Amino acid sequence: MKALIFSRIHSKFHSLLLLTLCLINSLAAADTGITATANVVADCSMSVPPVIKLDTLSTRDLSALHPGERLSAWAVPFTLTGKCYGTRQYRYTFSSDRITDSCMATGRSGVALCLKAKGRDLELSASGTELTLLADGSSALPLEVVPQRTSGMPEAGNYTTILMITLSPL
Amino acid sequence: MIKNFLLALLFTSVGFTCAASQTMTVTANVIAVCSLEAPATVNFTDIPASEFTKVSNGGTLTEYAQSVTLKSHCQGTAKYDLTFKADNAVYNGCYLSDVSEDFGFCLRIDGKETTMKTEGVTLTKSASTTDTEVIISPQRPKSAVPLSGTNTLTLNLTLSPN
Repeated sequence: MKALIFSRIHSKFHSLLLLTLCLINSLAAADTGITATANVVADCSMSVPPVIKLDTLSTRDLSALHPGERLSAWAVPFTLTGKCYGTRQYRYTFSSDRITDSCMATGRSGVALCLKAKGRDLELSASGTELTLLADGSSALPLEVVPQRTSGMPEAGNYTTILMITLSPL
Repeated sequence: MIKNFLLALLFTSVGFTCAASQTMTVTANVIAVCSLEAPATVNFTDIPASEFTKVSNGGTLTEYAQSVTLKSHCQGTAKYDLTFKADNAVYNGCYLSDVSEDFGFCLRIDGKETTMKTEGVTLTKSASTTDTEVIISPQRPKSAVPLSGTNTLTLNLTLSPN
């Protein structure tokens, strides 16, 4: 009887031992994981003619116009080539330090320089005028500079103005 | 008296026979145990989307590649198996990003371009070789350029005795 009891106890202990061995076996392999993260950032590039030179205007032609009228025959077309990647939309921002009548002031009375994009007037402002476009693969943006008569008497001389263009992804 | 003695002798000898027939088996299991060291995260530097236009379809942006060294330690075995398996979809032997089919992750393991498979890829190496070098390169899987965003690869590694 004593031997039988011992045998049962022994048997239970044995099964416990086997269970422990099984647990150790399952630990033999090692698992881990790596999370690799890469950020793609949208970026743009643009090429712009550095100088746009208008033909010589005569003060007589300008004086014949009313303020707000334009000399379309002296308009100069140019093209911005902009390309953005990593975005569905991008934005051009046009700005100039001196604005008069939504055009670029020249610093002299009588004439201002206006901007057209894709055949439509761009109303410029000191804070910047935005033009949002879809990144559909077309990269050329046709623009035009058009002289406009402003108030005051036109004076002879060289007129210069600076247009700031920013291209950014949306 | 003599009969009693003989009986006693007989019982004693039977008793001895019983004691001598008991045997004990001692079994010892030696198991191979492995441990694996790997970085939890791999962060790439920001990649301008235009960089993808500089490679052809299926090409990798090697200058943005990140290298990782895995350390495998196994005892009680001559060889081990190291398995690479990802949650991400497989496309032409590389993994696609979790968010975009236009961003891929290609793996170069121990200096060889490795064709990844959905079911995983297993390398068998000698236990004396602990290091495994993995180079992860961003890839342009298809013709489109990926949109801006965060692309993630979740790579699961299993090391087990061979």
